[in-house]
Amino acid sequence: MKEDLNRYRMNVSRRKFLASAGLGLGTIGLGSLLVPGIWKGKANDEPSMPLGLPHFAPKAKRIIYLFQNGAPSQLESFDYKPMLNTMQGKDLPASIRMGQRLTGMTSGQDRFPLVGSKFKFAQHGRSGAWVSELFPHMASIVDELCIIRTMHTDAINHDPALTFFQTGAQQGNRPSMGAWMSYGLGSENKNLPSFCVLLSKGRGNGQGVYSKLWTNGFLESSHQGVVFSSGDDPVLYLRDPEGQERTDRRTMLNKLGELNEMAFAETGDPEILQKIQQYEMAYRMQTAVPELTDLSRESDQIIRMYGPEALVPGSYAANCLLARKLSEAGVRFVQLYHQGWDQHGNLVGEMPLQANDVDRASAALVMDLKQRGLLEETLVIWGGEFGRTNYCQGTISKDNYGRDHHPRCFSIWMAGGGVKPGIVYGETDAFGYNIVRDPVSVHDLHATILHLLGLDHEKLTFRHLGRRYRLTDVEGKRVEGIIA
Amino acid sequence: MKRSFFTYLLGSLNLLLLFLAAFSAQLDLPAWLQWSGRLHPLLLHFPLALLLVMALSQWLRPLQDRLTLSAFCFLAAIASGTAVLSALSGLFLSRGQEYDPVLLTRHMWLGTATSIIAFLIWTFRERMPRNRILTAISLPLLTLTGHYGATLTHGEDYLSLPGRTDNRAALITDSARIYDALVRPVMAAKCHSCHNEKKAKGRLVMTSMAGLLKGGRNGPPWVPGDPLNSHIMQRIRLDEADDEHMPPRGKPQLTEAEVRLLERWIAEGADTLRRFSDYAATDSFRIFLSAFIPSGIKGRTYTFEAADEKTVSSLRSPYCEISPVAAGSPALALRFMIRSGFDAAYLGRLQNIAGQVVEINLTDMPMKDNDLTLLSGFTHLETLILNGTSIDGSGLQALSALPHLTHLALSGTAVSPSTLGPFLTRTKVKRIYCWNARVTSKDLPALQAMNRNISWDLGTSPDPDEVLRLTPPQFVVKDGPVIVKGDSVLLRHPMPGVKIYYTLDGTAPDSLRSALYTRGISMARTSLLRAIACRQGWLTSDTAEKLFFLRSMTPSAVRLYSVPDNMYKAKGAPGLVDGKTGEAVNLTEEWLGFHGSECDMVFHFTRPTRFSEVVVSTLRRTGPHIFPPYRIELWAGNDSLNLTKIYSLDPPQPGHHEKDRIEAQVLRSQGEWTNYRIRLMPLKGLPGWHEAKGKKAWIFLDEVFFHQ
Repeated sequence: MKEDLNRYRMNVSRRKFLASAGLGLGTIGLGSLLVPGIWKGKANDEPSMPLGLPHFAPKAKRIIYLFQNGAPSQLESFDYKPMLNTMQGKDLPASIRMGQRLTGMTSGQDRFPLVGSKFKFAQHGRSGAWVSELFPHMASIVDELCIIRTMHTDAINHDPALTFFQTGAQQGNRPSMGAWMSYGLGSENKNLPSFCVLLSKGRGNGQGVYSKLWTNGFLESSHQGVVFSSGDDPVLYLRDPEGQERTDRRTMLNKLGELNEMAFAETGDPEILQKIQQYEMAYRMQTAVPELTDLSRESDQIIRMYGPEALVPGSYAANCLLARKLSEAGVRFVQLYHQGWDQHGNLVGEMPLQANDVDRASAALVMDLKQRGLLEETLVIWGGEFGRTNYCQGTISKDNYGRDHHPRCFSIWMAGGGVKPGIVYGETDAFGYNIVRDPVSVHDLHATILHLLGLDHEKLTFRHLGRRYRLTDVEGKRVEGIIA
Repeated sequence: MKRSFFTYLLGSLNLLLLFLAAFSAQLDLPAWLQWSGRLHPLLLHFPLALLLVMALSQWLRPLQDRLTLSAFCFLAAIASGTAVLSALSGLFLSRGQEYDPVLLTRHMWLGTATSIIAFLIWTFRERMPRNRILTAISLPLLTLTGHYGATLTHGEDYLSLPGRTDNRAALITDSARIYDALVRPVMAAKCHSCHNEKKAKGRLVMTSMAGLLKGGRNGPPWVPGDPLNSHIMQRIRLDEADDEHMPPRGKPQLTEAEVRLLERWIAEGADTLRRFSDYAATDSFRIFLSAFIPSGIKGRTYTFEAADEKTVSSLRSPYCEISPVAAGSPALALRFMIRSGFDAAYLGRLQNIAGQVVEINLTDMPMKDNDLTLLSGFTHLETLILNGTSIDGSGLQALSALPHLTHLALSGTAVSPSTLGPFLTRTKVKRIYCWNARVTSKDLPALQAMNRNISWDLGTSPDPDEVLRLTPPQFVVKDGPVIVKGDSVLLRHPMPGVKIYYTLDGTAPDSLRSALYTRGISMARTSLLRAIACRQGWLTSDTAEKLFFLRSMTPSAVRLYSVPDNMYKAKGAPGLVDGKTGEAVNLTEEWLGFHGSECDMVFHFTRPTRFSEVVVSTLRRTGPHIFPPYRIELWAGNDSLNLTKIYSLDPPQPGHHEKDRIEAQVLRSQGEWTNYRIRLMPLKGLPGWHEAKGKKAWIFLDEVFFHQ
């Protein structure tokens, strides 16, 4: 810090000093009048852990987060509640609802008729976990999965819930989980961004995703998530224009670098250094990305594993395959979003389509990592932003229903990287409405994920606006029961 | 025996050595002679190796012939000469240095004895039984001398095995002393190797509290509460190039965090007894320290020495990332990147850090079997990822002696049971990943028989009986669905070997009667292109379909005689002939919408023009009540106030919910006219099958085409 100050002090010319001194001194005087003691900063207020390295030897090095955007129903996937079928059409007892707040979509409803899953459940694997028939491939690898049935969140609508999941706060402007990882762990491969985002859309009712979900927030901009597009060029503008030689590009960047250095020497704005770094990374990405996105080296077996959609850019399967390749190449955090899980109505029609989109490829990703010896160092997470109600939204018809948002319990799974395989964690009540045992909050999940990556969630901090910030804010406890 | 000048010289040097050794305590050397002591590490290796070779040669192959005898004499000359020189230089080196006196004395006398024995071997070089005994004596002497010498320079524990410990027992609690928990470990790692009881450089012993309090030649290392005037901080803060800098150049340096810790601890009074619990939880020092406390659960820790950070950073490149596995851990992980930038020779340059690397990832690098020998020096290697490399496994033998290698990933390589065999019998590997290589489950029993400790992962192979459905063909469209007559529409499929069949008349395509796509489909009229993909062993894809319009003749004016819904006005009348069509999803850009009311519009041409057909593009989305018009009428005439109806069409209505789609409503025209009027009338109410039956229906249109 002292060195930085000295360096910037050199940048101030006499003219600049005189120009700013008048106003500056006045402001300081005013400040100390208004808030006594404001300038008595604490000495030795140093940053904590060294950055760019795990705090301790990690269990996982990388994360692939398969975000199921819109919130898939836990009652048609991993949380088997046969009682709902026997009580089909009966009202949810008020003693169970306990005044849970409702969304605007069902607050007008005068009754809450329970509805059981239209889809059959069966037990699978040695763990005997219940999985619905909508997810046959996930069911077949259930002994690799750590299913958490007791996730709960604070938010009840998509945007705040999604923002909470991604940034640890509902309001936005905080750094995304991937940005924190990039900040805390640094890059394993400097030729690629350490945080990549892949988007796909299903055929169900969708909810938007926006760049604030993969923002760097107050962290340096190099930690921002880089979105790979679904077109022929996964990263736009990466190809040199026709007729431009690689050496021309290099010369241009060298010159630009000099200019930027001059600007930095003058103003001392650290964002200029970030910019130089980003230009250099883009240059190296020009070689690294085409090597990665080239599917011609993938065997026919792989295409059969992930499904033929893996060859269609922008599909969930293609994104899973790309995620494996990016992760294999050392990208710390690959964030997928698959939209279309918001089944307020027509759940019976839409959910099979959504499940069909993701089931095969998600399972294939886990097994593909495993057979390359990478599952032990890669954490795969599958899940949405909240759960869905055990009662029907609107009226139940003979063969269709819908479910509203439910924050009190929902299911996700994790695989690989230091979590126990083949377990089901936590238990919800027979109505599938409240948690009975072992709740896991979003903060807890964040703390656990950071721990698996070798980071202490209480020590990964960034000082901003006069206080330290963490991904887990002031909460979060490691879920020891799922750590291998 | 002939006594040469060399023998006399050697004899007198040995006498000098004896004399100096006897009076070593009184020795006062001129500076240049003291400097010559620095040659000691260079010289001592000659007698060490040569005496060994001589002993070996004598016992293995007695000196029978002239040739071996003269070779022996030559070696004896060099060995005896360097033995006395290295003993002398060692004596000079020991002056002015603080070594453990007991060890030093032993080393000195043993060295002197070795030198004299070497001299005797030279003297009796041709006396067979005698020199045989002498060389035999020289061996234990050498070993002992070398041992004490190594103890002097590398510390007492230089022979202990580089093992690892699980530090879980050493958890830091609140009642731990701050000095013991945080400060001492830093000094132990970075200072103790030179400042211990045996080798007290600068007469400073840092291993004991007494030594620290007594201090070295320059007094105690720190002044409590005053880091600026503390000797230890001054030395650490000096530029690394400076001779006074500590730790000396080339030795592992303190990290920035360790320097901060030491500085702050001194500033807080350098109290070696205070505990964490002596400070309140909110005390700034306690908060500062908490950052240095390793987390409750530690990952694996390693006890081998860290590589020099300068060396590590000099070896980094855009094609190879070198990173510690965790903060403060000496263990390193290597990752190679970018196929085209791979150079196997680079592995050879990494030998300086080979002892620290525990993990190497070479995924997809063009690594050959010969290159694997370059990895045989990575003695702490635990995980080696060779997925997708160009090896066939024959070079793996070079790695079978690696003692810690447990994880080996060979997926996607050409390794086979025959090439793996020699490696498997000797290796300590626990787990091998071998998917998509030339190893099948049939080979497994034989491979397991070779080494029972290895578990194999051959990966998943897809069920051969499962038949999957192909994805539909894709349209390659540059400027949307409006094309110029004669333009080609291109199709493609991402999977090699796929055949595409298509129809243009709206019928379902199949692989028997439909046209096989070769290159480009040229279209003569507004058509619905429907295509399927077929391939042996796969189910035929779903149908891909897209409606293509031909570019229209543009009227000189368009006028709307009815008002579209406020939400769906798009670009108004001009938007209907701008050549841009909309998508079925986003309705606000191009679509004109009418809710329960009719759409009435007139198109004006400057000259009477004949058209064969007029095409109206409409939308069908039954979910949100968007239905085809109940009736469409085409009127024509030259007087805009007096038009006659020339065609009327009742488009077919859906009987249930169907896929959303855009439809081309084709109206036949005849005669040459300047004005054409089109009326689109909505359904009176939604049909009986619809959830909202009886409610008003929408009609949507985005473009009108006039074809001659």
